[in-house]
Amino acid sequence: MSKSPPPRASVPPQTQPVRPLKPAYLILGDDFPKIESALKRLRERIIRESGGDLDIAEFEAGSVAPAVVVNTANTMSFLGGVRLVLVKNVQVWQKAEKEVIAAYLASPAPDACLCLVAETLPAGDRLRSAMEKHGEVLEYRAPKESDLPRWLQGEAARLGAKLGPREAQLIVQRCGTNQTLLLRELEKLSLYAGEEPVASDDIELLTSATEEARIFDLVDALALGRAPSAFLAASELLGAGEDVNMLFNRILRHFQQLSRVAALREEGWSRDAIQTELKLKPYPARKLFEQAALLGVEGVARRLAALAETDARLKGMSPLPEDVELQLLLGRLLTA
Amino acid sequence: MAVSLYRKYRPARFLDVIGQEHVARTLINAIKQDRVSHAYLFAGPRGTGKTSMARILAMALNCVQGGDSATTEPDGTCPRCQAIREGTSMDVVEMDAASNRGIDEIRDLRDTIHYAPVEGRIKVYIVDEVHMLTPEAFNALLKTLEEPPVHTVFVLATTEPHKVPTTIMSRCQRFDFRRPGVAEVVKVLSGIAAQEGIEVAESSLTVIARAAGGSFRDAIGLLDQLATYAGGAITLEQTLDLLGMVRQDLLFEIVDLVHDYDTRGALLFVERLSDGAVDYAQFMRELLGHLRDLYVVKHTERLPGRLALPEDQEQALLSQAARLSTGQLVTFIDLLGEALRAVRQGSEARLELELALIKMTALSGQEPGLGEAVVAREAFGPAAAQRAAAALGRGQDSFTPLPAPQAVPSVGSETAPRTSSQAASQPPRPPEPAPPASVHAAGLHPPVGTPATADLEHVRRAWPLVLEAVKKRSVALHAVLHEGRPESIEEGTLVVRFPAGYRFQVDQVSRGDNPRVVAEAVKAVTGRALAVTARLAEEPAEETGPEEEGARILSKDELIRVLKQEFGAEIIDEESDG
Amino acid sequence: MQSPLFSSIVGQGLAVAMLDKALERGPVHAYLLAGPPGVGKTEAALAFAAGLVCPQGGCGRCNTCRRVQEGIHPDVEWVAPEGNLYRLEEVQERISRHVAYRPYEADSRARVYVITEAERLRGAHGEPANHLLKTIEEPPRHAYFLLVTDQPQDMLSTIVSRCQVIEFRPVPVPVITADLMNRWGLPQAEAALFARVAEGDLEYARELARDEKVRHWRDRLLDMARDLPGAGPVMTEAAIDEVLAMAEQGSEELAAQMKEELERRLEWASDARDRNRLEKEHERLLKRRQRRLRTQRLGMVTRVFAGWYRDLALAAVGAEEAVLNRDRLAELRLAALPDGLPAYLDAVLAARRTRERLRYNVDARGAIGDMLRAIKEALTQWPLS
Repeated sequence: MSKSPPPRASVPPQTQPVRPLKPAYLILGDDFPKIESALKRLRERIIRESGGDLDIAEFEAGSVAPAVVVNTANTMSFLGGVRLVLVKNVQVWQKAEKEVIAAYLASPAPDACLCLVAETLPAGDRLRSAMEKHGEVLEYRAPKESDLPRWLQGEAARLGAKLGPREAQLIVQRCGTNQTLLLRELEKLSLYAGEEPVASDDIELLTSATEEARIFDLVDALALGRAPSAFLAASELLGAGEDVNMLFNRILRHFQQLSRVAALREEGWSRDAIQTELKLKPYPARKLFEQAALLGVEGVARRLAALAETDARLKGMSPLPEDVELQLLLGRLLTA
Repeated sequence: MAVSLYRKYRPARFLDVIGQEHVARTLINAIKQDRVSHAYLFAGPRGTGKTSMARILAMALNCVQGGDSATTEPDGTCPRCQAIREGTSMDVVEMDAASNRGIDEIRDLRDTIHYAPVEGRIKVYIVDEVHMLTPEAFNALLKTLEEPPVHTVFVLATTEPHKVPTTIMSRCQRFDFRRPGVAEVVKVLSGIAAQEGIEVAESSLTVIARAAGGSFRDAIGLLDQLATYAGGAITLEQTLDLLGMVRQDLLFEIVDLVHDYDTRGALLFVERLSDGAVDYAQFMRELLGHLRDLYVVKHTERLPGRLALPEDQEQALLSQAARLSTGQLVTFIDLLGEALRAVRQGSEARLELELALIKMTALSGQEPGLGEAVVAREAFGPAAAQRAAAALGRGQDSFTPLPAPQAVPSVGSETAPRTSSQAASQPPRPPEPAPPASVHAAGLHPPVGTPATADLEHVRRAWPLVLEAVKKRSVALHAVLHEGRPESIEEGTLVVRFPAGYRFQVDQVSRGDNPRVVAEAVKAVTGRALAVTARLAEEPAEETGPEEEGARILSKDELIRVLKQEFGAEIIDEESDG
Repeated sequence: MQSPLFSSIVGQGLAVAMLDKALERGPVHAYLLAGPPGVGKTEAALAFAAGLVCPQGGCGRCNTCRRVQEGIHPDVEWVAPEGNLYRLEEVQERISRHVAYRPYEADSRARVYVITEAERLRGAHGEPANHLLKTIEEPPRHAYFLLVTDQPQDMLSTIVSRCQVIEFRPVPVPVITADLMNRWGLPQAEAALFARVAEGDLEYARELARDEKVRHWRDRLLDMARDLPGAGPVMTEAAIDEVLAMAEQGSEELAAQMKEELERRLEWASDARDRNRLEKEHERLLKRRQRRLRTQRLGMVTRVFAGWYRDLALAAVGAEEAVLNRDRLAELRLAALPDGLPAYLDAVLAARRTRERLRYNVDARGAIGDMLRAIKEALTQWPLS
């Protein structure tokens, strides 16, 4: 029977020893796939231990009083098993409200499991310390962007695929930083590559570059004067249904950003300093710096002039088909 | 009812979907390893195989060949496969979001989704153009995707993936379908032609493939039509005729005529075209495409894969591209664009083509690269050219001599420069006419491709146009600027020299916003970004022609009065020119 | 053997071949007839509709075929936008509401909807088109849709992809010439001239051939164009009056003509209800045709003017062979100044501009007057020989 198994990538096999079910859990973090699967495990566990259906009450902290939550936990489950009381986004509760929960935690109901979820709680937080004492705190932090490639390699291994560091890096650059999407791309790649290590060609062929990545490739080609790549990248973007006006705006913004980088560089700023000042990520910063070095303030200015002209033409409803307008723009940018 | 070729030859196996092997392999492996996803998103241009692939997947999941599980090679003939191919399977539901955007249909879907498959193993829901769902429908779909029932697979298809919300996207495995190249389409067409016993040459198939623009569906549709129309062997002639396409050599010919500024030749060419059953609008569209190709080739210096021309034409394209300047190409493209717009609004195509050709050949500068300086041909003769200048000068006569010493061009050694104020010894170059619908100086492009370094020569030649442009902004400024000559370019600044005794004019030109206005005019006309400064000559200008002794410095009001009195000049409101 | 239905359609070999084969093999349910105006699309649509409806499969002779081709058969619904664009309600009213009904007449084999100006289905936000899509995709067995458009590039691609496209081309000049000679017995020279002047617009050419008045107007308009540069204000005003009278004149005649036809058809009517229906349709049809006629007439004015100055331009550069109004070649030679090109260009552009404006229902007197003024201005910079 062919059916889809749960997303294996984010569910590590059960390797820990079985521990008794705690009366309360606090789940912190921004690694949403992990958090979701932790909740799922919890649900499944409760079902197993209850020997029946899941009795679950779900709340949003923003729209429920803690007293109600406590009351629900204290009410016996009429199904006879453990009642799961789940409250999300508890960071919005005020101190007094957290006190109510803390009080409950001191003597929790025997057949209830209170599970609180928050993205983050400060170190000395009342709830946190109460949980540390009476329940368990689980943290699932998403890896920092710079750690994503390594994380991806780990996930790949879990899937049984071979992914090298450079290729992992390439995937992140191309596909962005949304972990769920990255996992989906990885799933594709692992299926495609099979026993073989994942090659960068595979990545180019199979993965869906984010719009951002594609546009970056385009403007990079434009800035570096690589005409064939530029025309090709543009035609792919248009082929993917990208709107000419939107594309134009993205190109314009990039060159405006480039103008800032070039200006700073002209004044002697280092790449790192520019990166911090303009709040750039490392990869774009490196690329922009390269482009600025090549074109200089003058070159960027000329290109901005070409863009301004195209802007007028696009808004003045040039009679030409949009794709021709775009190609004219590319020409101007390449030879400005 | 006869089945269309497209339906007859819809691929029924994964690897038969040409150009999407990457998708096919991944799906095949997924089936092999029992890792088929609950939801897929197929993104790509139309006619590239998305629906076909979706149906093949549906067959693979349900074909009896697989026994209890899915198979990577559905046979396409078992009752379940047949039903899927004919669109009658109860377990494969195809929805078109373009016509069913509503939440009702999605709600229905959600209701029926929990029923087990009727005949097969897995229920497959194929939603085409999914990006067209309303936000409510998207939400409903999302809920279903979040908790997918066990025996269900969704395949969402779209030509505009960026319109699909991330929430949905993250629940799907996305595959991008690429646009096939001409060669791939030709391959498919050949196969079909062979099977159907259609006699057709590869050159015709190439033409069809190019016309179909990357859509298999369109290409096969065209082949179908051709086969119907031709009734026997399909010739190239018939193919071009059916597609309304023009012979490539005609496009090359007209471009060469334009390049040679041969007005008469171009117009006679148009006449000759009418002997055949030519559709002028179509001709212009194809000409535009040809110019666009020339433009791209000029920049990339190679033929991009999608063009795929036969060998000899490839050579011709490259060499024609080399002959033309980018400025000419752009001007021509612009003119054709205008012409096509007019045709869309009801004007006669032949007329529009002729107008564009006349503007291109008779009113452009002779020097390639001066694309934006629209001037009259020398062939018109001096007196006539002057009259033309007068006619086009919008009433304000800028060509009769003012009481200024600058009666003849400076620097006798230069053969070309002409200035606007002079006696009729040399034909002046009138500025271009500026009625709305004709070629605009502002609308044309600075010559891309020529170095952006300042070129004094160029500025000098275009000076009359610069003056015209200034006059549109300020008549008074024009009146004083008139006395000066572009003399040199120093470090990015254009120096306009005024003869001795013209202190007033120098002051005026240098005052307030005026230098910027002049600079903008220079930029608009010549494309050069230069600052502008006015300089007074140290000594009386000897190199110029006869001077009036004791030239008075006129105050601005006096100047204007003199202009009005002596030359019938009128002050035009500066805003009046549209 | 091609169906007799299409015998009167000229110069559309491809389109007719495809329509014919479709009737032979079994048609699909949706077609898009696309091509320039005045080349025979509506004629072909009606002929095809006859083929669909006629119990004999399109004999061309029976009462059914005749009525369909005259546009008065109850099972052939003629749909046009009331305003500038189609509205959803119109599509619902005129099409969806009764598309599932069986044909009105007992021996009709189909119901056909001829949807003209189909590019306007995009409406304000695409709803009329989207609504129609569903029906076109899964049409009731008896229903057929013939979409007609002059502007294929403006058609929504979602609709186009669901239709079989039948392309119509401008009719080649030699073909028009032959048609004029054969059908109206014109001598070769005259037929060739009109065919040339019409530039692929079959309807215009036929008008010139069969209607003496239209020929006279053309001559008058050419004369006016020729004399305009030297015309004083009084003459110019007179010219405007004459032009407007020309535009209106056709209108009354059309009304009279259609009234006659209506009388004839009322004789065929079966009962009061049928008569009522015919009269209502007549009203609608008359209004539409009058409006169309007026636009055409005014279009002719701008066309002839543009043509004259264009011919001057061509003569000026020595490209005489390409002149359209060959019957005026001598005058053109005389009038054309070699250096007049820019001015002639301006004149043509003025005429063209006016033509654009007239499409938007502006005041005709104002537009024509402005055209004459603009042309004079362009030309009177020149000393006339």
